[in-house]
Amino acid sequence: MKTPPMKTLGRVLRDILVWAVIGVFSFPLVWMLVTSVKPRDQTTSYPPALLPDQFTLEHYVNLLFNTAFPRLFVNSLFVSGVSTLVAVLCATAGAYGMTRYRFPGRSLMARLVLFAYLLPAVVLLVPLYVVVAGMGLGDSLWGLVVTYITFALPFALWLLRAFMAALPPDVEAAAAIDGASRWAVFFEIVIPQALPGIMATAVFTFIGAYNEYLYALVFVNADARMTLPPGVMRLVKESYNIDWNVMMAAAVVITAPVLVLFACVQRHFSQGFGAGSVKG
Amino acid sequence: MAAITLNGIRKSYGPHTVVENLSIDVNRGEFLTLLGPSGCGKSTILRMIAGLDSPTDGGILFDGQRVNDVDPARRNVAMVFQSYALYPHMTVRQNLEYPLRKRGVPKARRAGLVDDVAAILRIGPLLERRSSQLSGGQQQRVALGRAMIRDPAVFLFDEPLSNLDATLRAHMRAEIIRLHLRLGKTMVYVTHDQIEAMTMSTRIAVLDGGRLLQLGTPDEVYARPATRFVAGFVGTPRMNFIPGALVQGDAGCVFRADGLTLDVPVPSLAPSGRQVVAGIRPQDLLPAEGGLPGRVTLLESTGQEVLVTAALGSQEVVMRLEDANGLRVGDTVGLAPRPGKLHLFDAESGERVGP
Repeated sequence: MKTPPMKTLGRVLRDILVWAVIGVFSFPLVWMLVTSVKPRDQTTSYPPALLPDQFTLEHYVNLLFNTAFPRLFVNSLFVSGVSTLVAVLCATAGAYGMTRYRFPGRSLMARLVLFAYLLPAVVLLVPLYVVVAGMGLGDSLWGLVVTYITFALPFALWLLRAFMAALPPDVEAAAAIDGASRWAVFFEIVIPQALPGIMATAVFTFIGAYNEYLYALVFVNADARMTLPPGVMRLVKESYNIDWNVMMAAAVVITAPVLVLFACVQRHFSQGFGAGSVKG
Repeated sequence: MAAITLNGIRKSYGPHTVVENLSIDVNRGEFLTLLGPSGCGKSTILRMIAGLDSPTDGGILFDGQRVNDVDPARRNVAMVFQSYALYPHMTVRQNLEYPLRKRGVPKARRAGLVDDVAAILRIGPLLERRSSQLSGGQQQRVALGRAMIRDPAVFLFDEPLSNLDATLRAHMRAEIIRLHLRLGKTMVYVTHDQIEAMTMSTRIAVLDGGRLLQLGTPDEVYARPATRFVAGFVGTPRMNFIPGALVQGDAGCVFRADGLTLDVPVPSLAPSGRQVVAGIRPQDLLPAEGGLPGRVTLLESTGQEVLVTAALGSQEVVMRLEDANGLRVGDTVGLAPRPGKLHLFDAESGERVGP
């Protein structure tokens, strides 16, 4: 069947619009990638070249072997990874408890959980510093881990509570009747169903810790224990001329774990959770 | 197979009582239906039998053993939920195997049992599919299979058919009746659908507001409803109710309808002047010369029968006839109850009056 010309035109216009929006949003990322592989002399050439005459990996080599970047990167991955792991583990169990057990103050607790999260980070900076230093964790990565969990846990709990509340309780009752213990119900029935929610929470928690700047700047002084956001800032500040190519290479490497993380869990995001277990 | 005894069960959530002083003996191999409108506490009773809820007061006994504090897993019951409650992240085979795995049945034996059940329920081709990829009827079958696969002592059904369309519901109803005949297990079935209750049960327990109103065979409940509520709840079309009083007639006690010239003799009762409500099933209301004049307001034919709605004074009654005999909307027809088919209930308490 032939499509009417007006309809075809509309479709083409719509496609153009979609690609234009994609272009606008992805341009900075493309520019970042291109700049990181441009020879230094072409970086600020005018008119700017979208594609350079030749590609080079020297900035990456420079970044990885002549700067403190690898150390910062490892520190960041450690801090974000550990705080995500702890926060998601605790929040999964906590959210299940909050949605499935009846206890006094249940709804009040659910509302108070976000309270700490609502305060501006800078308000808690000094009190938290005192607490962390009091624990003997001042100027250490563990101090940052504790701090990040403080913020990530309520957020994770809040996100996962909604996911858990949406899971049909009948399925768990069925498992209990089928012979599963409380633990078996939790691990074999609840966790697999909540997996998309757990993954989403993990990604948000990880990115939150990974990008955190203020606490990382204030709580850690030693270069060896610095994380990416303040560390890269220092790299930029220390040189008299900002080395845009190295900086863009750093940006690419910094972005990579987040993209990898998204790629890994995307399947779970798109999967409808809980679908097909219960009807009506 | 087990006999279940509910002994003075009460269940309340805070100040709200859901089930009140309920005592029922479910015999071995019996198909007992808990019938009532939504909110009557029937699902709560089932959940207490399963062990998912515990009674506030009273005892639950399986074969004389108190099971109040026994985990659902150890009660050896199987339950089919209204929502089917299949495990969405597992295939049909894994769903069926789950209760066996939890009971330590060896792998080879599990496979055999799954095949047996799949053959009975004709779900063999679906075994490797995810439960989320099944239609409602298929999901219902898998849920049934998961219940029967481990040969439980008691089957519990919580409105298992209410999410199916009418054709499938009739089909699955027959399937469950066959399952009961084949296995002979004790089954407790919760529904608000009186057709399901009438067709499937050995006995029916009619509940309202957390109280047991009547316990009896389907025939007993239909022929001799214990309260006005039961009379109205069981039977389609619904029973007609006409308010009136028991008074002295020409030859003994009669029921005299309020505002109508209808006297029906009820010789077994005393003409006490007591306010009562008479119940007449639609098929027991007949067109008769000299009966109460009713004006036909609606005719509904199903092909095999005609439902005639007629205005009788200020209220409407329904008659079930084999054919309309030329009746039209607007006609006036004489109505009289079939002799001996009048049910009388106290106007205040709703309790049955007389035999």
